[in-house]
Amino acid sequence: MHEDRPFREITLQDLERLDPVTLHIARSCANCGRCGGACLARIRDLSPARVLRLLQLGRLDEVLTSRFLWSCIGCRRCSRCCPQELDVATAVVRLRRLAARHPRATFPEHLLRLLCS
Amino acid sequence: MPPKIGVYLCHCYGEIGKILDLEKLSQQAGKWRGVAASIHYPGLCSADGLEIIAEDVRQGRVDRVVVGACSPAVHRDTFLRLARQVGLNEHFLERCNLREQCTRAHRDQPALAMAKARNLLKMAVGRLSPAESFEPVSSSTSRSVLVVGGGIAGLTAAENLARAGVNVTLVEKSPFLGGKVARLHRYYPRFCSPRCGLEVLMARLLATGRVTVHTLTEVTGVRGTAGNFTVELLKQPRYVKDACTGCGACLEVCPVEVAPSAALPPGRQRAIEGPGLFPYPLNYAVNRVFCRGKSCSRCVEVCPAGAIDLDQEEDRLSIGVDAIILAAGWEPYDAGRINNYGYGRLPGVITSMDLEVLARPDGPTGGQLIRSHDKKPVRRVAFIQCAGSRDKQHLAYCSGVCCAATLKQIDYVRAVAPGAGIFVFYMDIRTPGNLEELYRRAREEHGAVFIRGNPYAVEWDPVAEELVVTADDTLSGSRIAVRAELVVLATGMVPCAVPAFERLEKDTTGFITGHLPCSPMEVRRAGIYVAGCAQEPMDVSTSVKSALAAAAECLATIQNQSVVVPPVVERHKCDRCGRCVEECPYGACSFDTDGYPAVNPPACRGCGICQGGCPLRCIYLPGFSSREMAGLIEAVDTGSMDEQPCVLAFLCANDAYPALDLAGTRGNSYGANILTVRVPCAGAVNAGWINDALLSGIDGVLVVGCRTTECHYGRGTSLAESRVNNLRETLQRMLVEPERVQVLTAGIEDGQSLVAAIKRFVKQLQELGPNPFKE
Amino acid sequence: MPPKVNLQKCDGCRAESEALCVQICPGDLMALDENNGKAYCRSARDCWDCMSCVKACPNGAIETRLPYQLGYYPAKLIPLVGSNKISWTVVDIHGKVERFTFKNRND
Repeated sequence: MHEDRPFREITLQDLERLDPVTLHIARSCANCGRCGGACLARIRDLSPARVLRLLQLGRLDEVLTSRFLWSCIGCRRCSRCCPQELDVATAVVRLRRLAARHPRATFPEHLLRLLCS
Repeated sequence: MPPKIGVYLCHCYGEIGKILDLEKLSQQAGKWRGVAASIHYPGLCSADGLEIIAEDVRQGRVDRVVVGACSPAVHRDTFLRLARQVGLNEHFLERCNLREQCTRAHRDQPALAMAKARNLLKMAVGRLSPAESFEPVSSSTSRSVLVVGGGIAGLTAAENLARAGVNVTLVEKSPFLGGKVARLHRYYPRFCSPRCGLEVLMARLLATGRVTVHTLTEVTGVRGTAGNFTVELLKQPRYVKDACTGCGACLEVCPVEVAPSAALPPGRQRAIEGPGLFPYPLNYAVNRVFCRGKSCSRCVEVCPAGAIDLDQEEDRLSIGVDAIILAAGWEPYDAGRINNYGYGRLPGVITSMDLEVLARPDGPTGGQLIRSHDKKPVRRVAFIQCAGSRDKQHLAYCSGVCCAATLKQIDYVRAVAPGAGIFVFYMDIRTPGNLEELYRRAREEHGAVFIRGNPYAVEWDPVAEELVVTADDTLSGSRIAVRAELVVLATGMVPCAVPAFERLEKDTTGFITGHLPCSPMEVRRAGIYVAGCAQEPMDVSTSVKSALAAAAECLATIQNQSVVVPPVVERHKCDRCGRCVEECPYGACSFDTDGYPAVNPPACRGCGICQGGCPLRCIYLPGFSSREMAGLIEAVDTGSMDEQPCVLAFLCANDAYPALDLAGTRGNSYGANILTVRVPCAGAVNAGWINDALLSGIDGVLVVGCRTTECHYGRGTSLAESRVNNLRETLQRMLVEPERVQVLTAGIEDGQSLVAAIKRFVKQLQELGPNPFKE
Repeated sequence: MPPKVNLQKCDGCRAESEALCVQICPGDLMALDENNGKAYCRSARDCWDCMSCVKACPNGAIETRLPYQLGYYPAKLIPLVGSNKISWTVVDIHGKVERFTFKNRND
C-alpha cells in the first residue's frame, strides 16, 4: 500500500562494522543539526548531521556510498561547534576508511587517478 | 471626643519641598477642622522625624496621623512599626502620596501640584475624622488539618504539619498508603527504591503521634470555610480487622487471581490484597469487586487470627478541621482509548506504569523481562512518547514527566537485558535541568535509537510473532518500521477526580490550581491547599516540594497570623441580603446563627469585594466605611482645578496604584486634576462612593483594576465593571452622561498606557463639560 | 402612578424574606413575586409616589412616573443617593431637565 515509500525496518547490525569512536559519536549525537549548518563541503548529498542521523538508524550503506564523505575538506568547523563536544569531523574521516572498501564506493575519480599514478 | 489629627508633611530632603510650598500647606492644614497639629520636616522617615510623630502621640497632642510623604507602597513598615510602638491604631495612620503622585508627576506645574497636594491632604483628613478604631479580630482555632490523599505529596504534607504540632487526619481512597510512588520500581534521579523514602517519611509521620489515618475512605462533602471546615467521610469496609498479623495465609488460599492491569498477567495478586513492599497499614484488605464473598470464605477459615470478617459494613463519619490539603494525585491516561496502539488488544503493548510493575521484583514476572503470553525473552523494546499526550483528541497538554520516566525505564530494561535494543519514538524530548544527563546516558551508554516521530500504528506480525511500530522519522525524512517484543506507551497524567471538590476552580487542563504566581498552593477557596499531581503533572521530587509549599502556606493560615484585618459588619444596618456571602471569592463570609453575615478572619484575604457589592454599605474594611469615604470625597475642592475637570480615581493597590506611582516617578504627567484613592481591589469600590463623588461635583470617576485575567482576587475587575455598568444605566436615565464613570484596567508595568487612558478620559470630560450636579 | 420594576435589573435583593423595597414601603405595597423572585407593586392605586422604594433599590431597578404633576412619558423623577446628599433629576414631558440637590443623611 505504501509502494512508493515503503517503511524501512531499522536493523542495527551494520553498526557492528563501525569502529568504537565513530559509533560513540553517532550514538551520542542529539540531532541538533548545528554541524550541518557549519559544514563547508561543496557536495551536499548528505551533511555531517545527516550522516550521524543515518548511522543512528543503522543505515551505514547510504552513508558509505555518499559523495559527501569525499567532499569534506577537514575544516573541523563541525567538531568545534558541536554542543555535545563530539568530534564529528573525525567520524567523517574514519568513515572514509570503510567507504573506500565499499563495493559501491564513490571514491572520486581524480583522486583515484592520483593514487594510482 | 473630637478627633485630634496631626498632619505631618515631609520635604523628602528637598524633592517634595522644592515643588510644594510646605510651609504654606502646613499653615493651611493647621486651620482645617479636626487638625490639632501641622508640622513639616525634612525627612519624616528618619529616626528624628519618626520621633516627632511619636512624641506628639505619646503626649496626647494627636490621636490620628496623616503622613504627607511618599507613596504608601514605600516605607510601609517604617510607619506601621511606629504606629505599633506608640500604640496608635493602624487605621488611624493615613498616608498621603505627595511624592510619586504629586510632585514627581507634576513637577512642571508647581501651582497645580500645590492644589492637588492640598486636595489629597484634605481628603486624608476628611477620611480620618470620622474613622473608628478596629482591633484585629482573632479566633481561636483547634489547629487540625485534613490531608486528602496518602501518596507521596499527602504524606509529605501530613508529616510536615504533624511535626509542626498540627493534628492531621489523612484520608486515602485505596486500602494502602504510598499512592503511585509505592508502585514504582525506582525513581530518578538517584535510582533508589521509592519504598525506602516512603518508609522514612512514614516513620517520621507516625512518630509525631498526631496523625489519624483513614484508608479506603473518600471525602463525600465539605462545608464551611478556613478555620472551620466540616468534612464528611465515607469509609468502605476492609473486611479484615486490626487483628490481622500480615502472615499471608489468606493469600495462599484465595482462588481469585487479579491482574494488575489490562495488559499484565495476574502474578501473585489475589482478591485479598497484601500490603506489598510498602506495608502501611499492615492489614490485608479484601477487594469485594473480585471476591466471591461468603460462598467461598476460604480465607476466613484459614486466618489464624480470625481477623477476616466479610460482614463489615461501611462507616460514615464527620470531622471538623481548620484547613484541607488536597493531594488526590493522578491516574494514567487510559491507553485503551488510543486505538491505533492496540493497548489491551495486542500482546506486549503496555503502559509505562505497567512497566514499573513488571520491573519490580514482586511483579508478575518476578522482575524478569519476558513476554507474558509466551514467556519469550524481550530483545527489543520500543517506547512511544506522548502516547495520547499533546493530542487534542486525548490530552492536549504535556505531562512533563513521561520523557524522564522513559529514560529511567531504559535503565531498567538494560539492567535485566543488557543487550536489548531500545527505540524511542518521540516528538520532543523534554528533560529540563539535570535530567538531560538521563537523556545523554540513554544515547551514549544504552545506545537507544531516538526516532523523531509519533508512530502511526502498532501492529502484530503473526508470522514473526512480533510487534511492528511504524512511523515517519522527520529528522531523516524516511518512513521507518521497528520490530519489538515489547511496546511501552508513555501515557500522560490525568488528575484524580474527587467529587466533593469538583466545584473548585480548574485550569484548562482540568487540574485544580491556585493563582499561580501569587499563591500557587491555595485554591480560590480559602483554607484549601493543593499539593502534588492534583495541581499539575509533576515528578516525585517536585511533588514533595509542592507538598512542602502547601504545608507552609497552610500553616500560616491555621496559625491565625492573618495579614489582613477582615471587614466589619454593622448589624443594625444590614438587611441580610447575602450579596457579600455570595460574592466573597474565598467563601470567608457566611451567615452566623443570627442570620447576619460574619467574616471568618483566617479565610479573609482583605480584597473588599464584599464592601463593593453591599447596597447598604454596612460591611466594610477598616478605613472604608461610608462615613470615612464620604468625608474623603466631600473634602475635595472641585473649584481648585484651574478649569480642568476634577477626576476621582479609585486605584487597585495591586497593580494600578503602583503603576501610577511608577508613571509619576518617570515624569509621565497626567494632570494635577486626577485625585487618587487607593483601594485593595477594583471590586472593593462601592457604587455609593461614585454617587457621592458625582453629588460632590466631581466631574468624572475612574475605577482602575487589574486586567480581568490577572485580578488577584479573581473576579474583582469584572464585578466592578458590572456594578459600574448598572450605575451608568441609571445615569443615562437621569440624563447624565454615563461616560463620566469608567472602569479601566492596567497591569503593574502599564504606567504609560494608564496615563494615556486617563488623558483620553479627561479629554472626554472636557467635551462633556462640567458635572450637571455641580451647584 | 405605581412603581415600575425593571425585571432585568431587579434581583429580589436575593433576600430570603424581604427585599429592600419591601422593607421600606410605608404602605406595605411592594412584594416579591413567588414565581420569579422579582419585586412588584401589589396595589397600584394605593401608591402615593413617595419614592422610598426608588431610593432604596440598590440596582436602580425601580422607576415611578408622575403623570399628574409632570405629564406622561418621557417625564420622570430619578434620585441619586449619596452619603450626605441626595439629588433629584426631574425630566418633564418636553425633555426639560431640572436637578435639585439636598443635604441629608442617608446612612
